[in-house]
Amino acid sequence: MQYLDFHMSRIGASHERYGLPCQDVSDAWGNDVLSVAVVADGHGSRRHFRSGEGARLACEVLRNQVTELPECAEAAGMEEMLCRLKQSLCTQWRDAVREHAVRNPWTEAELASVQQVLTEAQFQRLMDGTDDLIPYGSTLCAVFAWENMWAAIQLGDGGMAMVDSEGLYTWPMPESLVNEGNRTASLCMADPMADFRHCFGTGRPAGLFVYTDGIEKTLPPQSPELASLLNWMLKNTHTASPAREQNLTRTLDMLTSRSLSGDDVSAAGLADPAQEVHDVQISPEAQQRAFVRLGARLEEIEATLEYNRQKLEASRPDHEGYDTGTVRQLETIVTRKEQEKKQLLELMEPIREACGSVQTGRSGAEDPETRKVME
Amino acid sequence: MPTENDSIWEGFESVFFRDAGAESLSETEPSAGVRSTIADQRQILPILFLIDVSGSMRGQRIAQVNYALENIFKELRRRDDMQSVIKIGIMEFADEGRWVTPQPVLLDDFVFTQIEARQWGTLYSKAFDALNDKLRREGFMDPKLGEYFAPLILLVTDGEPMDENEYPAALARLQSNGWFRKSIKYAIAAGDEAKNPEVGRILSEFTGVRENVRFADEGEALCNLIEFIAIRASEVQTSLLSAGPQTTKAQESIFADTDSSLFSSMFETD
Repeated sequence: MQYLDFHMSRIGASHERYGLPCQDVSDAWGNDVLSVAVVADGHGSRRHFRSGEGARLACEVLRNQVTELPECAEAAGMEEMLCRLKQSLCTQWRDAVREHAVRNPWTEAELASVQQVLTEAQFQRLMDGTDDLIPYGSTLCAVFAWENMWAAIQLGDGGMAMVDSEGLYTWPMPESLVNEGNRTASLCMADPMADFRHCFGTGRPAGLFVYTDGIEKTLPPQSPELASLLNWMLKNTHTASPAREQNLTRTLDMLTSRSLSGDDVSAAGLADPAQEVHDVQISPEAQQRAFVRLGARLEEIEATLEYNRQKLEASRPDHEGYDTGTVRQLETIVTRKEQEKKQLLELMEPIREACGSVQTGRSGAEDPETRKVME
Repeated sequence: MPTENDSIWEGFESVFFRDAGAESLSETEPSAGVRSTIADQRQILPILFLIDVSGSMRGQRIAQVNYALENIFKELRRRDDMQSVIKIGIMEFADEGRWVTPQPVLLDDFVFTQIEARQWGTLYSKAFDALNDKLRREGFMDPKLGEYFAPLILLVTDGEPMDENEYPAALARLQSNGWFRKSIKYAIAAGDEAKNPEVGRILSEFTGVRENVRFADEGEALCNLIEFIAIRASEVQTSLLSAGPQTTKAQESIFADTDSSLFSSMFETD
């Protein structure tokens, strides 16, 4: 039975404010042979001034490359098929970008803008074609499902998740070696294959999802909150309501309006019509990560409370340096942080119960909470 | 399977949205307590101030530092930054390096109180070791709290070190710290006593960029310089990463358009 599919991209608040277009692209399609969902996120900075086009070309190239994916997997095996697919995507994307650049030379306005953020050497490399891919820089993340197999590829930030018939959400994609802080791996890198990841498996997931990092900037990565959002999208896809697309639009608009990053948001996915997921669960590892993350947040709030309480104590009328303005500010902060602490403890309680005794070991793959060590 | 008559929001049971009875998601307000979780998804920009509080800083110099810091925090709060959340760390150093803020404090949770100079001399080794101690995941750079921009560090001092035998090793330890290497560092030498080659050399080794070491006379120049660097560098720091990698041109231009008589380099003869 063919998967149902959905996809949606919405412009972020900061892009709207600065008059930039949405630089996320998403797509999803399927037939009796193969179902695909994809998102691509153009980098959006002044240096990547055609990244929206780069994201669009990435999705277009993917659509052309995957038509015989199940047959290739049958013939060569999944690992080999995915490696060939990723290599082919990188090559075809570069060709498509260069063709676009030849047909559409850099405009004066584009060059004037980018010159402000490049060194002379970088600008020269842009002009002589050495760095002609950089303006089109984009990430790419896609999921595929057919018969009794599924697979996913990812280059850059964003995320890929899946859910089984029991409602267990997992994030099986290996961690990136490059994504860190505000950096991401990209199709425009000199060697994108170095960080182009994949995963695959047998069986028929109830749902497969891909999303751009605009969503991860709004909800904690691999968290119960994110699982709930994805599950809502799954249920929305199942519904026969004609308002399905409108519902998805409103949800993503609400997310981007609440997000303090103001980034574009995109999500795409596949839902098995024969499997209904009711109870959302996340894996014990993900629950533990959520608990640890909230625990760190709690520690930070407590440290801030302690710091400001001490300052408040030192600012009392009987102390030297008494100042009513400072005391009022400190009292406001202390009250606010006490409230935050209370609410955070309420948030943590159900997760604490679910975690039981918290394990500190790792389950095999590197703990995604661990970032590259800077020291 | 849900039909048109079913509320499609029923499955959206989450700590994120608490109002289970809402007709539509747009009518559902997230719990106020979760707002702090949402806010933390922005990248963190630590801005760390290392302030010399040795005896020679007493009087006009420390007053100018205090005045500058007060203005800096007001200005940073006034700016609406969607890309980063600023956290403030302040270290006082003289005979020891003491973090006034045991952890970097969110700008919104920070009330600046006046720094006082003490009687002691300037031991750079104490400052360097105290900084090295915190520029790590167990210190200020806890990855569980989010992802970080490279810190912005501003050191203000007015005198020669009294620990000539100790500070080189402490600086070497600091320079082997990955977060320190990635940080953007500025240093201000205040007053005539700071105008000597030894101080200039130490500070340029600290910052790694000679251009980032500046001299300030007494009075307003010191205050203006501190404010300029902190505000301008924090803007550049977050905009650098938005502009993409290797935008060194923007990084080097923080003093490009400034009046050199106001913000004089320590190395004017170069």
